[in-house]
Amino acid sequence: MKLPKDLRRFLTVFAVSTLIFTVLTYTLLTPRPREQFFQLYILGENHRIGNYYPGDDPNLHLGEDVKWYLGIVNNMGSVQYVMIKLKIGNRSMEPPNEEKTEPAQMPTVIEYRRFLSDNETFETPIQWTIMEAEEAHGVVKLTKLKINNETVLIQGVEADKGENFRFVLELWSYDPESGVFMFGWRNGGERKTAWLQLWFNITTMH
Amino acid sequence: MGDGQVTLILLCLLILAPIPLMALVASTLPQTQHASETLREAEANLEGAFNGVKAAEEAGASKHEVNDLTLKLNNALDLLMNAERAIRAGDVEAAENYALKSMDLAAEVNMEAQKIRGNAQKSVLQNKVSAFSSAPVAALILAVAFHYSYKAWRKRDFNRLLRMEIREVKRRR
Repeated sequence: MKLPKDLRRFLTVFAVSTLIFTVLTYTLLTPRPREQFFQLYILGENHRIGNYYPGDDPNLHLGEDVKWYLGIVNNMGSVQYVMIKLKIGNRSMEPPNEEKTEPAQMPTVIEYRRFLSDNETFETPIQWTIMEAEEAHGVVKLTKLKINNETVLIQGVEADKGENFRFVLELWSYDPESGVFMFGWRNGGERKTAWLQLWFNITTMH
Repeated sequence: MGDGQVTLILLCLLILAPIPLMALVASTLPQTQHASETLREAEANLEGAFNGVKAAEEAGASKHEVNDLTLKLNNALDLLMNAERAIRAGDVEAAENYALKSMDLAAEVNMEAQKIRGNAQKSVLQNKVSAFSSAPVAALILAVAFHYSYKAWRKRDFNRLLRMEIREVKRRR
């Protein structure tokens, strides 16, 4: 049976426009893929990059107060559970390995955990002081710190002449698949990491 | 009292003295252990609540709803961190109280997240159905409009052709 010419034209237009409108609807409803990442930052006492130590001098005395602002921004496109580990070490201790996504081999001083919704920024002050350090044969051993009014005992962190101690800040994220925190985060099939470090010296024992 | 008796009394005291201390340690040990278990349970509940919020977000919960749930998750986390601080300070009772409060809040968040997830799934499905069903409706309107426009255009063309023929006849006359 041959359809009338008008009806055939009508059906063709209807079929083609249905297809076009369906594709358009699908495109509009499907979210576009975007890069997923975290931003980790640390600011000095004046809430700016730099001036991380009193008088911008990284040679610290016992009892000297240091104030930083630690921040993290969630650009992962979804709610995240994050942890920031503040570690203390010296020059010879292994820093994080980005290629192998391995964390620093240093003792953890304090941990911050937080749930962050998409595009949320979390910022918290860190106020710390060196409470105790022992010197023997030119080697300075850091033994006690006070961070945000909490005293933390340190073991096994020492440096020649008290030079080149460092704080390492690592970003860890909760992996719902494995149910544990992992160093860095997953972006598709890739593992990414974010970490920072700040160096200082301990000058006087008095 | 002879030297032997004094030595014996001292020896007895030396043996008996640590008993109250040991009893105290033995009585606080199960308490600490229990508090640690409650803390672990609170942490697991918090992770469960987080997974619930994530699932609600993936199902299409609004940004406002997710922000609200995240705020509550952070409150539960703060309580858990207070519990950890208390247990480090040796205050087992406070630690357990904080952990229990954190567990309650996490359970509340989880329930709310499940409810939001259900509603979000329904509304996302409704939106998708209405969006996709509007495609053939729009196509039908377009096809009808095209059909009548084409017919009108053809009619105008036909009339123009007719007028041309009439002019040709006039010229011949």
